[in-house]
Amino acid sequence: MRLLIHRIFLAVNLLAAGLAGLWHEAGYAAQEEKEPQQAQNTTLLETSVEDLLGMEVYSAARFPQARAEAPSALTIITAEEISLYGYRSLDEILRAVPGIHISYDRVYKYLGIRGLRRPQDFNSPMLLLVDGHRLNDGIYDSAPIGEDFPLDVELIERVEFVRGPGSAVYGSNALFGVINVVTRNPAQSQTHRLHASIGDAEAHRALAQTDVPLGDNAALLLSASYADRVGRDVYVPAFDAPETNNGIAKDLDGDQRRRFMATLTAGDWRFQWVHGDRRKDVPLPIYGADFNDSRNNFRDLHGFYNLSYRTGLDDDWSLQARVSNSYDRYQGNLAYDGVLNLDSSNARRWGAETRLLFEGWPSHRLMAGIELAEDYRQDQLNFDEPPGTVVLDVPYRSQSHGLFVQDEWQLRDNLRLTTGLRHDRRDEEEFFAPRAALVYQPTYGHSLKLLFAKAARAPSVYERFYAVEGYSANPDVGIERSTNYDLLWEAYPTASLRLQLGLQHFKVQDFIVEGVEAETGNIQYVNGKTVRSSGIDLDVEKFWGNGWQTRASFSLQHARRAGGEEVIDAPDVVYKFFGSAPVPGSIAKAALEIQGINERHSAQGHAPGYALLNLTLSQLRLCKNLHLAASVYNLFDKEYADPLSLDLSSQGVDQATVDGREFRISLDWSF
Amino acid sequence: MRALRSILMLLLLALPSATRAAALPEAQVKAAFIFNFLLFTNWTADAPPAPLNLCVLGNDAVARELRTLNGRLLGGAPVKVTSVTTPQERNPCHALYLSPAEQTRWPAWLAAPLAQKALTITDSGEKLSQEGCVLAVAVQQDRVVFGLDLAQAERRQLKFSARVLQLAQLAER
Repeated sequence: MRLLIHRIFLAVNLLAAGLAGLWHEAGYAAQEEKEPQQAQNTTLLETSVEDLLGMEVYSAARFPQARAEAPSALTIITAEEISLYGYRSLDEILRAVPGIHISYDRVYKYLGIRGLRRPQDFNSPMLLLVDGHRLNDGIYDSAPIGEDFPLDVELIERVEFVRGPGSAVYGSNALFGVINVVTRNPAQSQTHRLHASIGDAEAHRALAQTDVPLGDNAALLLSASYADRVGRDVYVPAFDAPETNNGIAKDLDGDQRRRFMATLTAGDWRFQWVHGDRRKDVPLPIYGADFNDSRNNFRDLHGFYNLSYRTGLDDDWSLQARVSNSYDRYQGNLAYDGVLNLDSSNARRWGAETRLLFEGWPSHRLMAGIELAEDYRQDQLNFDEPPGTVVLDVPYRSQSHGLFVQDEWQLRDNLRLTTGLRHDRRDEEEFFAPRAALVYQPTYGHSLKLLFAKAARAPSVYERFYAVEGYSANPDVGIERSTNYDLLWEAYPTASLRLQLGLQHFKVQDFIVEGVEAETGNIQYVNGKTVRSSGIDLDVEKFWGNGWQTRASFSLQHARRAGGEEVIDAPDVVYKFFGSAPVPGSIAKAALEIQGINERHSAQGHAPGYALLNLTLSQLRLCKNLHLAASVYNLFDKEYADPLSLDLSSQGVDQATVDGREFRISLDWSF
Repeated sequence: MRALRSILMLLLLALPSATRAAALPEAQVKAAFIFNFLLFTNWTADAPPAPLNLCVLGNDAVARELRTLNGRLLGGAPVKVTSVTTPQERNPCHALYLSPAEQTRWPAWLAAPLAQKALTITDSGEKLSQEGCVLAVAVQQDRVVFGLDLAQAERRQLKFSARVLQLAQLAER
């Protein structure tokens, strides 16, 4: 089920409905002023059907319909863009969103939004959904957006990114934003696809997909992939001594992934199984592990079964429901003074959710939902290699529920108010999350949005109970809350130009951060000081005809902590450029991407700014059904590093170097 | 599958035009085509409609272009373009443009009384048919093409002039 999509469609529908009158009158008048277009139109109207059919046409901008009307700051990245820009993983896709930057600690990827990110947070302030199913796990609340994301990018139809709190509909985790990954449905005709790619640092990947129609309205999609990468030797200056291999972590950057997915659709029903298993060697001395010990690695497993149903009960009522079971496992092998320590967690969850939509009252669209979850395993275990001591053994389980209502009220033809409220309870923690959105369309092609929302996140089991050497538990850590104000202006001056200007003010109270326990000097999770972040972005998209297409975004933002402390990994400037064009005489496309940010604070210094340039040539047809794509990432081999967590910086490892120039060539055969 | 097979498709594949003028915006050409196509449609159940009521659902580029055509004369009779908001509206539509972006809402519209005798139209991307739509306007190889579902048309008591039928190639799917 595609809840987010549905929500957006609701917005579109309602707005289309409400604004119809306006376009009919004002819109028509506005159009008449555009004389050249009108003249062309008249000529066209006087053209015979025969001639019309013979004319060469170009597609005017196909901006995602939902964007102008959605009651949120929404960005959509489509499958076409994923292939055009050679994106390999979810984090690379998300990096296309204005103002977003990604950091890497050589195991996991972290998403910074509005300059805000907490080191080692596993993206817990972001809600990650796959077709509406919550992927954040029951131990760390993590949103796996890097190589640990369990789906291949080839299965993604589009990614929707909503900036700002989403708790009023989605509950916990939606503190900074909501990511909904929409996977493609099985095709109605039998097709098979084989895909293979190679990259440098000995990266290999193979993927097989098959679509099987099953009778009248049922179809099955199966997908499996394997990928591995040897990686590079990582140099860590703080460990540059003969006894620690001169600071070189040798052969400790390896990455292996296995992924499976099955989607079965039948009428109003959809069943999905997603499974992703990833093992990454750990080159940095995370948690104080022995440097350059070949046994250091992390393994993450994320998977779920999800059955969803969606139907219209009658003209006025429609229903969506889902039941899911998810499993998330983690095992970290780290050596300490030569002894291998195993840190593991096991999370299982049953989830059920239902939503009702009522459209029986004029000018209103009401939605109500209930969500129940039973986290029946939330176990954390830490022990030294048998027969060693058990350091941590905390089995846990919890229940949570959420209830929400939302109304979209068409106040006038061009004015719509969306209000919503959700109540959530997890164990003894409970919170309310309200939201309000006003969308005003003064004239055709312009929309002005004023958004307000609050969100909250209950602390994760990891944040409350994790206690090993150097870490203390803090069962009393409280809920973190965010409040957000957005003002957005979106304009379509012509059919091929889109402009968006956004202002945002964002506040996080009781932000759960890594702190230092006074008595022991151990790291523990505490509610930190209030963090405020303000920003402005400009996003311009233009379709030039002849297939040329460009988009540029520029974000200025500033995050500050109460008391004047520096916010780590918070760039003040983020800019992006995307351009693509067809290669003459073929169906191939060339695309260029620029990603830039300015200097950031790290725990003990500064990480310099960078600008990266990526080039991709895609859809090169070799013969029938066989296509080639080639990418160069970080073309100018720019050296840069990302700030790291308190844990690593206290060992003198303040920043992690990110790989330089990389190549990838892929072959795609469908039949 | 069965439904698909029963659809009698009339396809018109673009004829390469002799003169290659500069390319025109797709949505404008589609809207102009839809507008002119109405001239070749006969609503056999009623007398020739005046004004001709063209209902538009949604706000995609073609829908926006169609809205600009309100009040224009087509074969001497004015075309009234109505932006429809709910399927419960009383005035029947002679033609109903359904935006592909609104596809989740189509079933309610297709079942509504106002659409029973309507020429249902959509912008179908590259495909030449779309469930529930009599006329599917698409683009293939940079040319506007169209598909007609004659079984649908018959149910809706619609007939088309030989001029547009003659233009078409007969195809079966």
